[in-house]
Amino acid sequence: MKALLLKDWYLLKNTCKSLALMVVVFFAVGFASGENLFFLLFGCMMLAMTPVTVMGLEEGSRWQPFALTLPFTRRQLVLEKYLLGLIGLGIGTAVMAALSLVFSVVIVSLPELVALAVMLGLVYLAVSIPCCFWLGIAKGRIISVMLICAACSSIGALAVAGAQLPQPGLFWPLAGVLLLCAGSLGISLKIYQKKEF
Amino acid sequence: MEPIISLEQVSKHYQNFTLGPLDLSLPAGYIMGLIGENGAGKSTAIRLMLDLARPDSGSIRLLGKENRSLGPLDREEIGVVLDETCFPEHLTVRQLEAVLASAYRLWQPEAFQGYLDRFQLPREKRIREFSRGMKRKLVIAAALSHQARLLILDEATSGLDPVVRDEILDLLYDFTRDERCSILISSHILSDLEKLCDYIACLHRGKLIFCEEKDALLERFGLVRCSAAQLEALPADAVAAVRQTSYAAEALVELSKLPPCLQAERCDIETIMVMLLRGGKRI
Repeated sequence: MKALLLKDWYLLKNTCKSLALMVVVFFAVGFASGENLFFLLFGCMMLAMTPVTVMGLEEGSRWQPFALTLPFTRRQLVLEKYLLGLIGLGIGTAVMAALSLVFSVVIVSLPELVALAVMLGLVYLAVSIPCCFWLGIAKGRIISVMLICAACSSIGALAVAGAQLPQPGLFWPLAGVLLLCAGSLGISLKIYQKKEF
Repeated sequence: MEPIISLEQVSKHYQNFTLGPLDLSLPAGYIMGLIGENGAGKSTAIRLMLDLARPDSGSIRLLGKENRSLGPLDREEIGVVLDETCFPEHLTVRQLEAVLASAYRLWQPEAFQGYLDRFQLPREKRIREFSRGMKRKLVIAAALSHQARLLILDEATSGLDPVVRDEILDLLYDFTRDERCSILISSHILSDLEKLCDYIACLHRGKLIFCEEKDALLERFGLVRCSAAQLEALPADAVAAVRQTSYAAEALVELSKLPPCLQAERCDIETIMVMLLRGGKRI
């Protein structure tokens, strides 16, 4: 697993300087404007997207079939992508939280901000990674974004229609998202075990 | 001793192609060349061996175990070169080495550095900037640098100039000086295989045409060039394949069945393969 993380670190280091710059810009705009939650959360999301970014780079090199001839199991190849996503999300959330202590975000409290960022990032990972393993990067990205947009649109539509949306606090949504991630991991493992090259 | 590679009644069905049933085995300490025309099933057979695809029937054993049960420690003993480059192309060679050194317990940094020097591969350049031949040399260098017992090479020498190909063949030959080490290599460059291999297996449209010791194959067949009328005079059971033009004919014959009064030329593996695949009788 260490070798796989090292490989991804080198790939990101060599190719994603512009991504890092965008994250900095998003955080800067978010904190400078004082009330722009979108930019703060999206900055975290961009770091949660690193597994999909790396999978795109790997697909171009036809790395995945070759990786199966190296001393890695299919299980490790899948788990590493989730771990990479968690590391990216963790770094993004930690930086955002640290900057929030300095610049203060007025819309939500810090715990709510961190919880929102973690949940959104985990939902993205939970949806995008199995889609990419199943369909490849190009289709997987499109399908995962469509699924997330559909879910968000449904909630938005209900709110606009005046539906009484439940106020579950933080615990139950977080528990639900963790369950989603566990299910996603199981699905990814199943997809990859059966995948042929 | 159990063969290092063993395929028994292996078959794989695709929409427009069926491989097998295939029975193939490579004894430990030997080199087998896998030949056949484009689309014959060589890469498919290799993918099945490496568990990149699953057979519809039959069993595949590598290193004495079912290939699906090979763990990471077993895979350390297998060096693989596929027909595409496969390393992440945005890495430099130095970064790639760090990754491979972390992946393999028995990584040999001195050996890898030696191959990089020998093949003149720059350490700080990204792999995507390499030529096709340089990428191929890099993959071979990596495959030879972790004390593998079995090398599986799919078109390993394609895209390389003759000098480097010769050098790599020497490296591969040295690899099998250890009796435990074996190589399965597929290639269209049959002259290379003729220099290197102990066994030759030929696939045609998914079927195994022959799998024999190379020397036995070369001693078994000869080529008779004759007229159409002379062709009729050849014993039918001696003729394995025929190629005719309007004025002349070439017959691939089994030397043991040819009458002593008739002379045949020695032929190479390429001639045997081309004659058998272009409408010849099965052996």
